[in-house]
Amino acid sequence: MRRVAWAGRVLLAAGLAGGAALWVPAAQAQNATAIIEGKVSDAASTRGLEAVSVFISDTRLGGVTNAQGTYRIAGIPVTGGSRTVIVRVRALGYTPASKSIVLTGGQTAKADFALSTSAIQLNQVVVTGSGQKTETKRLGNTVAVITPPVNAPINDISNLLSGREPGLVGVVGGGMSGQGAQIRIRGNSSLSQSNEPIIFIDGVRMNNGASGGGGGGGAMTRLDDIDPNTIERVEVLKGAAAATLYGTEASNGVIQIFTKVGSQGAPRWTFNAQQDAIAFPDRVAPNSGFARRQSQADSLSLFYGRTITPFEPFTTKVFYDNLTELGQATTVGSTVTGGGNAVTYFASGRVYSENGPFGGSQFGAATDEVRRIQTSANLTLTPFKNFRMRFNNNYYNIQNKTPETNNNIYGVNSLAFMARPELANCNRSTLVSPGVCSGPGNLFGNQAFMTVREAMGQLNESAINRYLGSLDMSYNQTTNLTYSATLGYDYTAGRDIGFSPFGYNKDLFTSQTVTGARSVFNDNTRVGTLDAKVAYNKAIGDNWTTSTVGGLQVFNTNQQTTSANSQAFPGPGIEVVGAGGTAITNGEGLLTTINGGYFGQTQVGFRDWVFGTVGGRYDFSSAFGENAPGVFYPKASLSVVPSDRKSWNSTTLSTLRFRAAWGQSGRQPGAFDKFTTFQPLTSEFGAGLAPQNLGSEDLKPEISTEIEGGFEAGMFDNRLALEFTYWDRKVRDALVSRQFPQSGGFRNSQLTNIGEISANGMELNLRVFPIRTATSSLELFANAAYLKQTLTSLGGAPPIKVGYFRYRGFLKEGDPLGSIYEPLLAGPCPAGGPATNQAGGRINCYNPATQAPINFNGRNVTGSALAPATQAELLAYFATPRDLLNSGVQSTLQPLLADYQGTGILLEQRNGDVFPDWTGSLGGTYRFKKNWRVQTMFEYRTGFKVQNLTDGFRLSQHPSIGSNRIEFTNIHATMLNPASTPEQRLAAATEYVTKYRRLLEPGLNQGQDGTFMRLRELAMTYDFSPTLAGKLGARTLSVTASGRNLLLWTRYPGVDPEVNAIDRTASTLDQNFLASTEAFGVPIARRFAFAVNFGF
Amino acid sequence: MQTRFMQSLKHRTRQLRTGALLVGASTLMAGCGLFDTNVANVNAVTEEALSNPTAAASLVNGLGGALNNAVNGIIGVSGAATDELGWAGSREYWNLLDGGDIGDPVNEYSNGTYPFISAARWQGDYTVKALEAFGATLPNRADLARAYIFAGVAYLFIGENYEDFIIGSDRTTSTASIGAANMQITLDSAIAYFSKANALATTVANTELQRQALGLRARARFSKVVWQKLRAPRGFPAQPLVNDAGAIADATAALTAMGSAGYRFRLTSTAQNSGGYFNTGFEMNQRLELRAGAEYTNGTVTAVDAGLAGIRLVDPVTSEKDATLAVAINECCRQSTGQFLGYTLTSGREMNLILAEAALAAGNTTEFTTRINAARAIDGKAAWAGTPTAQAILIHERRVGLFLQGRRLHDHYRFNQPADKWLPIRAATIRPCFFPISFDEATQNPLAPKPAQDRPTACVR
Repeated sequence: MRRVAWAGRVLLAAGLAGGAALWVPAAQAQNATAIIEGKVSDAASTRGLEAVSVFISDTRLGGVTNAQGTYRIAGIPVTGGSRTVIVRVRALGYTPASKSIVLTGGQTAKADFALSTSAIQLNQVVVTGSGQKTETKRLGNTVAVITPPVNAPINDISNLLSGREPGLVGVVGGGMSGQGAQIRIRGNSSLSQSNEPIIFIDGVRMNNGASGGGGGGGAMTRLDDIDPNTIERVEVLKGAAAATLYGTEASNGVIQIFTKVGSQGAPRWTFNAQQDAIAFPDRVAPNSGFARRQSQADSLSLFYGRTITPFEPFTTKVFYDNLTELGQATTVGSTVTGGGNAVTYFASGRVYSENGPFGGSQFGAATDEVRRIQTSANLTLTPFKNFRMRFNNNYYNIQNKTPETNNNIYGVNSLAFMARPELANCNRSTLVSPGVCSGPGNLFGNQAFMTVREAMGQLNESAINRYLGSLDMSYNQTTNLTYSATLGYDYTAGRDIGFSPFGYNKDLFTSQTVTGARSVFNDNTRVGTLDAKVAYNKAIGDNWTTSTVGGLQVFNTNQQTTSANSQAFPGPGIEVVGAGGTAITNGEGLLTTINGGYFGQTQVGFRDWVFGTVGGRYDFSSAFGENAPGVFYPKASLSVVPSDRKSWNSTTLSTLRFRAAWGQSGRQPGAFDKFTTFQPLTSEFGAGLAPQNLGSEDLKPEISTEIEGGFEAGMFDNRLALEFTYWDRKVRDALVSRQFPQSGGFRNSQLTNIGEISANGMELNLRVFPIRTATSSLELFANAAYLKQTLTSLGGAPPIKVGYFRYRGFLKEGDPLGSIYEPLLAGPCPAGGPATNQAGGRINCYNPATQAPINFNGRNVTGSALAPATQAELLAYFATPRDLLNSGVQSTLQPLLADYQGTGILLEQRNGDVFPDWTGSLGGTYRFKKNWRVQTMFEYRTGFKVQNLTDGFRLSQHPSIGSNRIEFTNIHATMLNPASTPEQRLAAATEYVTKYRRLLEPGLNQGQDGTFMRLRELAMTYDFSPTLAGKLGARTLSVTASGRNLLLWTRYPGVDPEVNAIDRTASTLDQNFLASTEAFGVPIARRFAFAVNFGF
Repeated sequence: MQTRFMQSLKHRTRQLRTGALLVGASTLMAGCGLFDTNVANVNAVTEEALSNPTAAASLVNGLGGALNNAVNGIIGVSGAATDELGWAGSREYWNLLDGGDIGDPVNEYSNGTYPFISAARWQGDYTVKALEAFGATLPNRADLARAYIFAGVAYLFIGENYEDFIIGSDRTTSTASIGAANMQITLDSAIAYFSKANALATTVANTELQRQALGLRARARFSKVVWQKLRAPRGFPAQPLVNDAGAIADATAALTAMGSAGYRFRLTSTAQNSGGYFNTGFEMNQRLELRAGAEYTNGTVTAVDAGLAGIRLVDPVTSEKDATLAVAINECCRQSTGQFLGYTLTSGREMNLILAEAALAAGNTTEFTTRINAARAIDGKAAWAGTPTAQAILIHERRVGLFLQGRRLHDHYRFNQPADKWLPIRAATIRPCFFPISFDEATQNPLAPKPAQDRPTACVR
């Protein structure tokens, strides 16, 4: 039986489950029935509320309101002539309501509800992490629910998640079209494994990978494949205490996306059309340079058409003036929903087409474009009252084009950022007009790699075809007993292409694959989901209730990749890998991983205000082989809601709940990390093998144990709500990617369970409705999350370097996670004695009156006498002009460094970390004059450093690229100008060493305060009255003008404190610990949008 | 009443049956292997698979690939640290090597090269041991001879290029360095491996492997004398010339076996095997971080100026652009050359240069003239007839004839001729020094010597 294929197993399971369902006899004949109908409306505005759940207590009978807010529940059994039922109403954002209704057989009763908005939502029903539908008040852990704000400027899921919930942060890769975000919830719970949360859509585990980016373009995330218009809500489990039932892989939290389902009634259509204008903010500092001699000044004057004087810096806005444009995006979408008692349906389609703000089409074909075709259709069948089936089908076709970007010497923007205006020329052709050459030239002054125009000839393209489908079944055998199962399949066919056409070197400058190059990478990933569970809920007497759920989950992920690369095409016009004559490579990778587990949970409730829950999960994974035992993850939680006691009658403190939860979940290593392996290494001698994995038989999952506690308080009739959570997490047996001595033969690091991470944090959420009248309402919110993470132990392993050499991240025992380590300049000596460090040891310092913080000619070495450069010797040195781009000058003017922390490692002084201490957002929604609505959100982050590598080049002494921001150019020109005095040169040199000396001592002056606040969303909507909409032939009609990322407040001097060169295609270690790394990315674009939404 | 009871009972029975079926289905699915966690890794093999003698050739080929990665790296850092290559790109650590910062353990390129030469060293010993253990079951004994040669080359490059090294580590076990004063033992290991290769090649009558083994042993013996001149004691030698009987014998035998002064044994990069931390060919010809040194060429050289065009260094005999260098530049350093270069490990030219130097050291001008002109004749250059001096023409012929083969650093030191871009401050204080044990190794290996934290002191007197 072990040989039964996965697909076969799924079919078998489906068949068995389906067969079982069909085998169930039809519901027994009922006696007389009655009907309840009515309207649910907003108490303030009296407007009908759509999609509100109305149900009859203690039965499975219920319905959902239509667009007018009306509902109808038919077939309510009435025995003995009449019956009293309790009708309950739950709507997101409103206080629940209920009414007692007396029914008479064969008649229709009326029950209208006017709901008041509520800032607190303890009765909200969630399913994620609890195994079945459960009110949040019954759970001891937090389950955040994000509902898409109506008409907010949200184009993808990354937009939807960011800033909505404290502790959930989106880290964007850059401002190019289609660049997705990394998602982090409560920081990092793993050192070596992915810290992305696991994501489900309607109960199906989805491929949350990324694509693109490998060739130098921007990377997309699979999360953004999902159409945001189809989303009803998103539930977020933030950590191990809440996510235990998801077991291994859930320690970074769980995000579950719920899509919209059909509701009964005639077909109801919606149409949405939106037009965006997109622009880069002018945050890229101009390029500057200066002429060294009169002849050069004359040539430059001619080239630029303005007077340029030797040693007088001048500037040009290379990026902003030449490579940006007003981008645009168009969205057209439609949905339809309807159905009857037994069948409801929902279908949607959306086409999103964006040509982003990256411009420069006059130079080459590179562009930033994204096109998403997103379709969804689901069908809910209720063939019997106790049996429901739902088929979900989603198909996505995504295409993305980006130029070469980010930290990339062939990047269009990086080359624009690095160009030196004084090197611009038309040397290989003639000057037609200022800045325009008749043929090959160097328009912006690139000194190395290629010109901007040549870079524009390189193309990157990604294409995704994806099907995501599921079959969800639920069978209520009795009022108490429910079986449910979900079968899911997520298939993604991805294709990434990097292409440089034959002869793209228009300026005859570059030597990089000038006869063309092409790379193709195909990734076919299948994720299969089986989730089956049984729930038993029962009341025991009047005081006690029990809810028990048990089941199993299995996820089978199969990834097949192929790649091919070649260079040197025989001529222009050929665009296939097979035509390349050199550097021909191909590759194939096959990877299957299977994770699964059994879970169970029991919840006991007392008088509906005290709830205790215990549960656990027993997990298996292919990462540990077939003979490895499983892993058990336990959980327990307590929720106490004093305000639900019958004796509670405070209106000032209208709602109060305390909660606490404890639980574990895990993270597993890679599929084959436990084995010692040899990998293919082909050489000129033939096919060969070379060491790969060291292997470790003892490998096991890392275990994350989290405790969280907090409270929710609703005040003044729930017009104000305050939520507070404190959490504390310990990760034991943390998987450390340990690098054993490379002299031992194996270059790859090996995962070992030797680490320990501790983390804690707070989350605050404040929501208030200061205005709530018939014609206007105001809702304000503010949230904040504090995060502190410490690498408690590396188990004796040496510190781990994170990322490329110029990035200064290390993982060091005892230090905060994400720390950056940089050299620090010596300071002035204190009066009366030498400077000392934290350990009491003497450190370098200088006397500002007579010395400079310069290690002249590098004469100070460890253990030698301290002798900063004297001003006298520097003045002598600066008696002649000095060129800061000269290696000899750089070597002479070395910075005087100090070992402030007494570690003995001058180049690795801890200088902050890349994860913000505080993150959060604030904003609100204001409805006025009945039909107007303004929504806004500001997002902020503070307490972190950005590694500003862009200015590491642009503000420094680099001989061949960069060195072109005016701050540095002024210094450079002063030191080189024969007319400068030695004193002026000395002052310039001192400024250089203290502010702009970079790269040569890796990290010096590189980490900069990244604190920012951004006006993330601003939208104004006008909702037409039903009467006016009707006159226009519509049922509903609204227009919205909105903006996204409109304003940025920051002291960060670089391009953008939020962009990050480390995206989802970087190594896992880099993704985990190099957040906030700015390296030649473009700023996040501003968007202005106008949308029309109507329904009929 | 009984009927209602029976109906209820039947109903409950049906419910139980339904539940039992669903539970059973779940159990069945689990039993069918939904939790079958035994998945195969078809992307790699486990170490057990290597115990089969049929894996011998794959092990040796893999060793060749690993060696190619390592040599590719060492040639790059060595070229940058000498006058052979000059930096022109974005990465400042090439610049620091250019300026003579050879002893800096933090330098990303020497740091990045170290694990690849370490891996080749380890894999060489591992492969030799594995193939020797196969004994008579080894399908092709020439594979073992190849393994000896590759393993020996790894030790040879370590001995020629590193200040100190760690040899005994194995997988997770750390060992201390052998010490700068003991580094000649790496050359002894190389010589021992080449001797075994020569013996086995003779046994199996593999002439090509014999040539390689003899030529490499001559080089190793020559390098061992150079090592002694530069490091025992440390300094610039008053008598820089090498005259070693073992090297002479091997070079003579190798020349005979090679059959032609133009013979070369080269490693060649391929797209699948194009370097480790970096690829020197890519750095030179595509990324353009490095270019042929300013004393050798006129800056950027492209296909347009093939041959002698673009060559700056002149032959001191004819005062014409050097033809030997032109051949070397054509092979390595024109932007049209691409990124997959070949690296000569031993050659007939080198044998003649070894013999010429020994003759010069012994005062045998006739033999020197014969040998040096044999080397010059390969590229059709006019014969040397006494001008410039014998030592000058020897230095020149080594410079152009062994270009980008990892020998130039030795010659800078032993003839006390600093590279053109070594910073005066460093040139003034420098002593013969070589690449250090990497910063990463020092961090990972508790027994490794810990480098100074300031800028390199290893190369300062």
